[in-house]
Amino acid sequence: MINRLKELRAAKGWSQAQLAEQLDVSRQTINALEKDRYDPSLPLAFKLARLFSCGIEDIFTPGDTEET
Amino acid sequence: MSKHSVGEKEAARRRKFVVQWLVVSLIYVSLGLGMMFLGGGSENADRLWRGAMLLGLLSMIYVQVRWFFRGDEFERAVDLKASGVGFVTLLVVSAAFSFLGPESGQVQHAGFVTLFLGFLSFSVARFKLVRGLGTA
Repeated sequence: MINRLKELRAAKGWSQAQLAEQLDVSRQTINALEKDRYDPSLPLAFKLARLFSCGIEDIFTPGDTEET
Repeated sequence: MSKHSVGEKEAARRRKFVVQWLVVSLIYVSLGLGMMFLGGGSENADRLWRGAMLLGLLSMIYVQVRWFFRGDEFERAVDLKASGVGFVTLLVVSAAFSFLGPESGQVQHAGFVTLFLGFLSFSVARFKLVRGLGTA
């Protein structure tokens, strides 16, 4: 799975820690997501979509990366 | 949401993790040193050794369970994999020692080395998975 998380976060001017705080996850989780090392669960993906006011498919697109 | 409070929360989370890891590491080092000086043979030393091993095992289980249930979904995935690595290490090292057949005076050293390597491999695997330094 490939995602635009870093780009969307940068557009909001948030740090990884600030985004993690809003999603109630660790900063390492945001880092792993941004580096495409981890695919989030559906609830987390929905939380992200809600936070950035867009659809899940606007953040995530299918790719060749493996899930952690 | 201020940047300051987020930084503080992240720092607190990291501090808590480091303290937990240090406490368990200290327990293991103390167990190791205790066993080295106690040696084997006497009944009291054997009893103490069994108690120490039990304490070591319980502390390892406590930390793993705590990390597993307190973490978020990514941390749980990492802990699950790292625990698997630690468990396989325990099995392999135990099997190696069983094959070598340590004598009675060396059993406690073998047990400590087994536990220590198991915990070490768990810690290294977890670190590598979280930091993405490689695949564990």
